[in-house]
Amino acid sequence: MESILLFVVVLLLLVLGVPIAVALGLSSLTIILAFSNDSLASIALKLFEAMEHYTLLAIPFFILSSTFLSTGGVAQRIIRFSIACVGSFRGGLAMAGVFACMMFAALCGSSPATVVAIGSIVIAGMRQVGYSRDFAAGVICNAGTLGILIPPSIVMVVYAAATDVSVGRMFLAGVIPGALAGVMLMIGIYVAAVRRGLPAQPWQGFREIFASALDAGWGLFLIVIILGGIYGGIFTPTEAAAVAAVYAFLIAVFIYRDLGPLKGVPWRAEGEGAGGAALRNTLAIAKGFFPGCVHADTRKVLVEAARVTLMLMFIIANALLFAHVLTSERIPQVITETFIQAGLEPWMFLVVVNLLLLLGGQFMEPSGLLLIVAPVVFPIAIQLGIDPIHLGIIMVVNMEIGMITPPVGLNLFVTSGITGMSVLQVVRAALPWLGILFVFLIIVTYVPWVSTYLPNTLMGPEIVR
Amino acid sequence: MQRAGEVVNRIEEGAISFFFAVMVLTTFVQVVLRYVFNTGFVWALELTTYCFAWMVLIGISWGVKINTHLGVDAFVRLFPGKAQRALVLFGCLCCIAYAGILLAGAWEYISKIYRIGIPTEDLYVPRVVVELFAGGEPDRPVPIPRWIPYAALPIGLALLLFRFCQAFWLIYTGERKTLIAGHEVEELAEEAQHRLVPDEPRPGDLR
Repeated sequence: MESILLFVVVLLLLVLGVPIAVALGLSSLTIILAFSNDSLASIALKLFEAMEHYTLLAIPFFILSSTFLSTGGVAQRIIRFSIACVGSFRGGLAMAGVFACMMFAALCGSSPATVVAIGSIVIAGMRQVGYSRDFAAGVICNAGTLGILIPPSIVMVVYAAATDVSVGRMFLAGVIPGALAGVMLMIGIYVAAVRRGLPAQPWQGFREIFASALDAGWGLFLIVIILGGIYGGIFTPTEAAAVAAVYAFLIAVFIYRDLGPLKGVPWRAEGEGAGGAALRNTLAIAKGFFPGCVHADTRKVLVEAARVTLMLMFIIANALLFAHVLTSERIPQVITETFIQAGLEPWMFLVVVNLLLLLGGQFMEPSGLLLIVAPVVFPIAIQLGIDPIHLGIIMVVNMEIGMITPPVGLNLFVTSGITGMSVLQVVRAALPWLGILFVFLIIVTYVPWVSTYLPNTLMGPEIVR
Repeated sequence: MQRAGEVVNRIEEGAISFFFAVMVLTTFVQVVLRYVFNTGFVWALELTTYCFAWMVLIGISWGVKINTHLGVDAFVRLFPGKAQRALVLFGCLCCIAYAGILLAGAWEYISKIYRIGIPTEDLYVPRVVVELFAGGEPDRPVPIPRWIPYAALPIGLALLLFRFCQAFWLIYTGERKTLIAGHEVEELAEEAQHRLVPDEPRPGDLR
């Protein structure tokens, strides 16, 4: 009874255009005040406790590092490298776009950010060599969703926090599915390219691959820091995120010099000797170090990252309150019992999960949705013997699809923003590629090996408590 | 009036960036200390979480001001001008109720821990400050009372209540249209649009 009321109130508030966070919080408040003895003080405290969650502390740091990396230079170098690698195939530029999205996804944990960083450069490039606007936009819009599947990923951090599985395991589990999705998209592009006679870029030779890899290396080294650091046992995911943020700052301001006091200062001026250049750069960095830390550009990045963080955390804190109401009303237990008694097979259960998430993903922001659905679905999955990591990956892939389906598809909005197309046009452009992602979802759902192989091999089998 | 708004904005952004920067640097320094100097601060983690709480709780009200909180506006947009405004105003009232109830709860909590005098776990008043104010050498470290970091809760919620009331007024007078951003990237997308080269389908395009 209370549970039905809870969901009705939340849906009503959402539809009426109340902010998602307030809709979740206010509906929980109503139920608590009406049906339970919890004091108001303890509810207010719940809001504070979200920020004391050690795992969630990784979120602001990951957001900060991807904001520094989204300033342009890193994306440009990654794109150059991927064109050198796969550009010479038929439809090569589109494939390079997908490849670049995969690499950028390995640096940052958000899908829309990936679309903006890669798409704003690649789509223009594809137009120049004669791809249609729809083709370019559709490909990038879909490939950008890999941002939350390839580690690091903010959605995975949220899932780990909600279900107490290890963040490191989740990250590792995303690697094979991420690569698989990327390859599937590239194969799709290749088939389309052969049929339509899309152009290929000239092969630039191994020298260019090597040179561009070296150039992009500073940025790509972040992957080594994050994943190597976590799996080498050097630091916790939260610490890894903080180190990544500081590293990204140093890269953006002093190495690639996209922003800050050294903007536009070349590493090697024309006709300058190696020694002279080394000396000049050392001096410039030493002189620019402190100004770089407090420069207007740096502050702007900090404020922007803070904006995204607090927007997310406001939703997360209230979703945690909502989840608290769900559990204290014993709703997950009731649903679990019903499911078990109905004699449901695991595969049927997974279909239900997929449908639920696909539907919810139309209206909710991924992290908030995850926090609400996870406490309900997780205990059932454990009862049915489904691996929690596998379940996590299924959920993330569902969120990916939610990002390219209207009405609340973040990737659609950004793609529409960077191409100047209407959202409806983007939906139509993204549709053919959405089919590939659906096939991918089915593979991920029914072949658990894809998600569990890497974490189980590298970190030992998961122990379910 | 314009000047005052500018100053308030700077204070808000400044406070938020300050807490953010402290978080990042404390965590980073902690890692460096552990590996390079084989030591660390006991208080680092607690300080970081409190900074996080302050940043978010103060920031939420700023987020209302700059219209960054997510919501679903598809349904509300179906209505014509007047009805739409009425719906948005109703949404504002819900928000005001939310902030008001939680503020009452936060106040109750803070006054309780203030009365009981619970200290924080690992945070102590720096020696220098104790010597300055208490005079002489303190015989044992003075813990910081817990209500100080937790004050973020009532302060943040009071600011939030204020911003929601302000939004209600602005929407009522017609100076502001919505309470929510349709999606998290509205601004990002707009910015990208400025960089855009006009792009029309060309006759020579490959399909």
